[in-house]
Amino acid sequence: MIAFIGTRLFNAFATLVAAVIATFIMIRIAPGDPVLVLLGDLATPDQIAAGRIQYGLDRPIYEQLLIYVGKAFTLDFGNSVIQGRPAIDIVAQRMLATLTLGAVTFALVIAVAVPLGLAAALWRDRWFDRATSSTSLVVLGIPDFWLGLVFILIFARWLQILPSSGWSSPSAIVLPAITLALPLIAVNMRLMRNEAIGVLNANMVKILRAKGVPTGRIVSHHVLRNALLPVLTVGGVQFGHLLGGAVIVETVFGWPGLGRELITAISYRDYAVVQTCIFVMTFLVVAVNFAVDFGYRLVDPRLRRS
Amino acid sequence: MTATTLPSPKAMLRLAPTEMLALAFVALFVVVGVAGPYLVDFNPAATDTAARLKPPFTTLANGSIAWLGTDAVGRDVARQVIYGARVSLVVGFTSAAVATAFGIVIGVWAGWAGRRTEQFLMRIVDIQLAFPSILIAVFLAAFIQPSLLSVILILAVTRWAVVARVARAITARTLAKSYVEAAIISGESTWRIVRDCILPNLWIPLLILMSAELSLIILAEASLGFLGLGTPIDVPSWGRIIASGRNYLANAWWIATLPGLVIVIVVVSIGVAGEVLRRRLGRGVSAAL
Repeated sequence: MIAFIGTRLFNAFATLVAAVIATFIMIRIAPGDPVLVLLGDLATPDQIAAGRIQYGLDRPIYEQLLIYVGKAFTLDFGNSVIQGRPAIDIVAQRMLATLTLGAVTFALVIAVAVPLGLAAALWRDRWFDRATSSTSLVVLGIPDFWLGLVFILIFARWLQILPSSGWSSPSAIVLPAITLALPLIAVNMRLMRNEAIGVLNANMVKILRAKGVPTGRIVSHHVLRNALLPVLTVGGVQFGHLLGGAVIVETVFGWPGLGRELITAISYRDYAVVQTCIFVMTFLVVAVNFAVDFGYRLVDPRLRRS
Repeated sequence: MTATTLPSPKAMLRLAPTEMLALAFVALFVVVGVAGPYLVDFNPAATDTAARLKPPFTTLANGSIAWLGTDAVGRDVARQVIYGARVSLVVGFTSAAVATAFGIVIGVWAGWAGRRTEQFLMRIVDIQLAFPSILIAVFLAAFIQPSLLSVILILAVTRWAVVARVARAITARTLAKSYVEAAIISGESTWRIVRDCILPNLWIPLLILMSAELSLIILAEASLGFLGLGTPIDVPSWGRIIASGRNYLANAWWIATLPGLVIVIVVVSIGVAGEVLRRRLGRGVSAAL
């Protein structure tokens, strides 16, 4: 177990370092002088000279890389050229909005996908199973940004029952969360269905049936518990995909989270904020994957031995 | 009452009506993508303020009918969609091809080399697969000047890892076969073994995988276009058209919604076509995917 945690921790750390090195390389590939890229076109000659020393651009390239990685891990990404305050402060603020949206979406996904998947498994190959299966195929073909716009059109413009953007009222989270949740519901429902079918076919369930245990009890006590675990794990892995979806959904709904901040910063060429967003998002993905790996082993004793 | 049996080979080849429809849409998409600019006359730079924000089915001053309406500067949305099909098609196919080629090289290399090399390469694959591809695409696009080529390469970078994983699995499995052992014993060169023993086992699974990649890349291209990180402004793309209709949702809903429907139809059709492909070719390979 300790060896396992050690390897995973090392992997997590290596991923984070790789991401930082990748941004370092990308800034040098980006058109223009790295100092201008980092400080923006409006930098004065004094700022440029100071920046050159601050980022160590007068030193050999490997030293530059070391300084850069060191700064990244002390969360020093410099100031936002647009807002004039430390990029990490801006991004930390945005993180809360994204995590709120993520938590609501995740709850929605589990609440909808689990019962639907279970129902599809129980009515396997009947109309309900077929209908949910083809619906999920279509849902996965829908671009999320377009779905968001269609929701805004229907619920905010035509019916006028939900706000289209911002996060001033609690109801503002409804449309972005549903937009973000739908494709994940489609995926998890299929997963839940397949897991539940696997359990339903197991000898354990046959014995329970033979003993005369009511179907409802078999489902709630045995099928659900066994099938839920893989779904929750994948749910953790999907957190990363939630962040990816958030980039688009937050932009559509004006949700003040990491994703929208990233896109805004890219459009202003505010590279301090861009790098911070990339670092924080990478950290979140890595941290959640680590937590899921670890938690899974804690919950399912069978895995501790392998 | 008949017992549940596998459908007969003939039944496996028969296409359901929805599948025929899906294949027809894929064919239409390819034809329009290739020949679109020759079929309709459209100048992305031309504007016509008299014809702006006209709803679908409006007859324009020059006698043509705007089936999908017109946008904020009076351009026909349907013609933009037809032009945009080319970007989706070109980016979709080239990106999928580049990703597949690169994935095969890395996957076969890892499977062949084994040990440390395999561990190292597969670790990279795992790390990349932990990240959603759209996030990687946005990260890369943040630093690169957008062009058709950069979009193709960025999307290829986001998709190669899945291919590498499948290619490695198949390579490792094939290497355990006795005919590979026989080839090694008889002193065949590495290249010949890879070419004659391993690659023939890869084509069908990877073709099926590529059809799935194609849908994902078309969606990702549209997303990048929507975010303004896709192809340059002078190249009309589906994502960009939808983005341009965002500010006109209240008074011209068709600009943002109708092109999106086209994306949904194309992507779902490719998905269904992929299923057909899997059923026809994929017997015995589904385990690898």
